[in-house]
Amino acid sequence: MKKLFIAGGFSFLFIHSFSQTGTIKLNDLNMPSSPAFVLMDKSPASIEKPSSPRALGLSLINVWKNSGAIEFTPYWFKDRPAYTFEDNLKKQIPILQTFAISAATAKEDSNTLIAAGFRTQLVRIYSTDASAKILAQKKKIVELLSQENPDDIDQAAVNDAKSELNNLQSKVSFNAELAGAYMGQSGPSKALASTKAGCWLNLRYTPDKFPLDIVVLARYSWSTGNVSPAAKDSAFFDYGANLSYQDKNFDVAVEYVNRRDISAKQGYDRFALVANYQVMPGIVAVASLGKDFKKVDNVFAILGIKFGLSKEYAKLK
Amino acid sequence: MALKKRTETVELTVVKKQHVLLTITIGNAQIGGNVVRFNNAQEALGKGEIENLDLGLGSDLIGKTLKVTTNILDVNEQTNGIVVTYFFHNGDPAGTMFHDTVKADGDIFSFIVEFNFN
Repeated sequence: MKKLFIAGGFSFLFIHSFSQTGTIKLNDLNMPSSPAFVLMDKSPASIEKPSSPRALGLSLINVWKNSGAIEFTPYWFKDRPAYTFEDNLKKQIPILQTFAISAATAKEDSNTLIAAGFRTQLVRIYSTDASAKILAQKKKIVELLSQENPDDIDQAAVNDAKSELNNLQSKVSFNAELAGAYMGQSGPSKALASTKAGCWLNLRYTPDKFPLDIVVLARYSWSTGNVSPAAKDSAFFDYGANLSYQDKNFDVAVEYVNRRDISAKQGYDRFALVANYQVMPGIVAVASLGKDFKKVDNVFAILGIKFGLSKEYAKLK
Repeated sequence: MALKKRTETVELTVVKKQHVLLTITIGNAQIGGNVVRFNNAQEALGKGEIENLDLGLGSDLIGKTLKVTTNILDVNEQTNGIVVTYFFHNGDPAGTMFHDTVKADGDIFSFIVEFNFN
């Protein structure tokens, strides 16, 4: 888990940018966490997560009447008494366990947008080393929880241990994920009709002893209904690599993405580097530079110093 | 992080001439820790993960109460369901299961269960 000092006070940024934006994102190769919301191009304020068929029914009625979003994993509607933490760790094809359905409705002018999607992990493999670290962390949590009086549990320590466990679990050695979504639209004078659909496939390989992710993301989306044929389909094939390194005072992340627009038969690439160096507590030197997908106005560079007033730390995943 | 508690009592019949063994299984891919102690004992008989813990001969257990505390942390982002199974080899009923839920990931659920041996 990377830690980055929060600049709570003043920042002096020296920006030399040919692009319109100084914001640098390092998540171009990530899968959408909730495909239905991505297709709708909305970020719901809250997402209902029903945990039983009955709660799902109520949530669906609520979302249908008032607009909103839900997300649920059918496999876990039923308790799995014999399915232990170890079983889950060893499960290399967790399609059912991770099959999550998302759905959302939203009003746009006089139209209603309805989207539904799914996401699942096809393959999830932890290396022997990664599994051993996760099991060691689990053992630590078991020890913290083994108190006869529940009030004696050190909840802060448990919380920290759980965060570390989440961090270790996120380092899957090989991961393949699939997602899809479908959107429809209805209005006062037209019945519900499909307008847009999309699917994503993501493959990620993370070597054990090197801070590098090798990622391939394939995306295909298409429009239906009254859309000009030229604007109907789009298919992208992205591949790239993330590299990140962190020590006590220094943090650097680099991402390279090559994007092939299959429909337009064109290729683009993107490169971004973000580095932070803590000169002393409260003072951080920052540097960001890169090149965006666009053919022109695509280079950005930011150098600066941040002066922090807070000693809190923000965590970047 | 919230802590939720539930207390239960279970009556168990044991096979007198056989050793009774206890195994505790935490389901739903959650993580739990246990403390097992006879009500009149100073020291815990078992702590942590419990698998085939020898409680003694059935005839020696009759009339005793075993107190088991199981604290389960919700580490499974897919569900807030909590489920624990207490399996007594040479006990009747052999398996006792409790289900419940926590409100959010990272919450803890505590089952405090007393098993009376008959």
